[in-house]
Amino acid sequence: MKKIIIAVSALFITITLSAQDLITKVPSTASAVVSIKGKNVLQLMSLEEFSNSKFGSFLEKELMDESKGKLETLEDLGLDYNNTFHYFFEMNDGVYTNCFLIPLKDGKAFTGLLRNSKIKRTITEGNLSYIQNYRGDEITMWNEDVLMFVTSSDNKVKEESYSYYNNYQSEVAVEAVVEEAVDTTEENYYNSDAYKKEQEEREKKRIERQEKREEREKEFSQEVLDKAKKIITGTYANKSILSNKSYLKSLGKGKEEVSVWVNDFATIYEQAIPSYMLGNSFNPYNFMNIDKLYGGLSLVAKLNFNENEAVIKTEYTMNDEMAELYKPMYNGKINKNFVKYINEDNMLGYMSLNLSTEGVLKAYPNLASSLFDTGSGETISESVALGAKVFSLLIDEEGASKILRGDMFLALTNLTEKQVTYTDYEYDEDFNYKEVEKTKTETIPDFMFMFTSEEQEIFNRLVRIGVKEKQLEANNGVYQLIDLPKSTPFNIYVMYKDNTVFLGSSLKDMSAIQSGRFVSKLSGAHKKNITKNASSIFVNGKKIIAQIPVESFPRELRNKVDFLTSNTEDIKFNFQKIKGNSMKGELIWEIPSEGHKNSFVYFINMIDAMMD
Amino acid sequence: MIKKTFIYFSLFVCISLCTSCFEILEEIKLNKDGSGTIMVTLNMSKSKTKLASLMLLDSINGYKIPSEDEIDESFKDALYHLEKTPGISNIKKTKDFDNYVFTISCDFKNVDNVNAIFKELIKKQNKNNYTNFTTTNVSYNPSENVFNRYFTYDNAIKKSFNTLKSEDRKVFNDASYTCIYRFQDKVKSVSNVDAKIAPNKGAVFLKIDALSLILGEKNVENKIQLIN
Repeated sequence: MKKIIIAVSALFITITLSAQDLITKVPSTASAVVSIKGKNVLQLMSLEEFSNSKFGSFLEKELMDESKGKLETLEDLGLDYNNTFHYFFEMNDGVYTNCFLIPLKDGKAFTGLLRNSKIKRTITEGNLSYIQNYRGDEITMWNEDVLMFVTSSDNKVKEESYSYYNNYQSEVAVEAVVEEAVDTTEENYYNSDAYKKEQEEREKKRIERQEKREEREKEFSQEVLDKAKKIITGTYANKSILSNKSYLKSLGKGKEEVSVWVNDFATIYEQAIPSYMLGNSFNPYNFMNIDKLYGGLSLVAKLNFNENEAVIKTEYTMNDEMAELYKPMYNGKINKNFVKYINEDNMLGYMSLNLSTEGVLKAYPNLASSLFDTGSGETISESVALGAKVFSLLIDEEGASKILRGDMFLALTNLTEKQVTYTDYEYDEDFNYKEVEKTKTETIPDFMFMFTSEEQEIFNRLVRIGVKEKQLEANNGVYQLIDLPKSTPFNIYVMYKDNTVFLGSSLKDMSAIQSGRFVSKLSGAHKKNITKNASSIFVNGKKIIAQIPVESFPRELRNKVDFLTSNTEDIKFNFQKIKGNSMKGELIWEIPSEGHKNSFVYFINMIDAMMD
Repeated sequence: MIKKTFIYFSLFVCISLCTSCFEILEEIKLNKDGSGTIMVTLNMSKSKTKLASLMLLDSINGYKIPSEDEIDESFKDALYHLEKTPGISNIKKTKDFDNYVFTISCDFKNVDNVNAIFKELIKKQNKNNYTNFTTTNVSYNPSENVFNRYFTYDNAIKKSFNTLKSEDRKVFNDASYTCIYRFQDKVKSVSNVDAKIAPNKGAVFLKIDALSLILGEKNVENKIQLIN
């Protein structure tokens, strides 16, 4: 069934992709692809609108300066803004390739940007033109439809230098021995035949190495050129990325403006470890089963500029074994009391975390054993497995989770203005001075941190010890921490109520909670985000900016505070529990309901305002 | 670990909101024979809320935050260095971690002893960073009755300042450097246009904001002519 769906969607995508979509030029072996959909962006803001913005005019001015007046507008650049721009990254046999594919409407316009020196270095073969740098690892190539930048790096060259270091080490060792044996004065030594012979040998080796390196560089330069030609023509024996199942699955409805797809982290890590490290003790592959951890792990991120918000959605997909191991960690129960002790009228932001201590303690030993299980019978993997087993036997997961269940919540409540004293000097007319105490106002946030603990007895014992040792001061069931450094900006209070430990800076709030007088207020949407997700973050942008005193802003932003206050809304981040094999995250940046056509225009307006 | 993250988060908000600035006060009392007393005060009490928050962290913006013990150690090193310097006596120090005010004072037999305190340090700085700071900071010529405070501005100051992130530069926004010199003779004239002479002519006062000093717009150089 899965296969049929993939086949049908592949067919659908191939039909809907315009013939010129450059995605067909991305090889199926690419590890990461980033795409910017020009058409979707233009629907949000036309090129003309963009050119009229301050940011757009600034870019056009830069363009005019850069092209010495030959190109005046973004339109003149000849790019096909309606098409999709792609970037991909590929690792193959120690060679890394970064490639940018830019759709062109008019290939000739681009050449207007080139300086004379570059035009002289341009090679034209049929309808293909390219410039390759002297080292050969960078190519700019274009035809009528596409402009392409390729940069490559060759890991093999780096390995050569590493082996040079090894050779040098042994040479130095030889030299040391010779020095000891000759036992003459320094001057004699440098004139000795032994030294001269040694120098000759060294020089010979150096030349050999250089020749070898130059030969490889030449070879690599040709390889990069061949590769670039292959990309621009899109002729792959193994077909393009559109034959890659994971990539196809990531495409979805294609309504986003920007998409990122990273595939198979295991291969990326494996390729990223230089081969000279293979076989030596630094190589994690010798004792860790990286495949098990990262095998089959892929990441998809999509950026959507909607009318009222900009949203980044991410999705990690992991292999079955890892999903099984991670699931219990994130399968926590959230304490329903948390939402009872928040009043959103005073809330600047919050952060909730919903882990399961029991799940974590049970999963970690398994995760460690499985990560170090290389099947080689090596001492390290055996030891880790044994250690994990012993840990499991010693730890009472259930007991530990009674002390700290794993769900916790931090709320930043009002920013309060606090008078603080400081030392200043007063001078008489003869400049004799005396220290005087002055006061000034600082803005301090109040915070409330809560976590679930069923072990009230432990809390009570700790409090009794604290009070006896004069570290805590009791105040109707709320305890103030006494021994904080004197200038600590806030007081800290602790208390216990309804299976929850509270730690906060506001005595007023804590006393109200303890006596049952706390007035709570929280919208359904917030309640849902806090209780249903593994983690949820909320920032009340408007309120925070409005409450920060103007003088606390960097000088250059002070006259923009009004703009920021009327244009900053909520920012939310939600991280869902694991479902199936995937973990989904979502970052939402809300925009004001008036003043901006959509969230893309909002960001351009924001840049414009900051450019003033 | 997670609890720590939450608390760090709150501290971080404090650090970004609270203001920071400091004042350095340099006071020299010079006797007719060229001996005298010098006192240097670092007053960071206006930033104490921020500093107290910082001290609860290990590091911020990539800079390590020293603990009280580490600051104490540096203090001890400075005192040891003073004790070793010839002509220096009666070394006193005060440190107030509640208000973040620190002072060191000492008597000197001759102003050259004051120069000797920093000479090696400045030499090292000049050698390592190709700067050109003068190693003579103060001088007193009894025959002409002239007291000089020297200072050579080096572009390296501005360069180092420019490498700081804009957030870190804010520390210098309201910072200042104050010099007070007291004499037994009357002051006839001062060369620094920003310096003020007390009505009783017994003292000279110069306060410069740190940014002007860093950018080279103003400096502490001063030639003070005393009446013979």
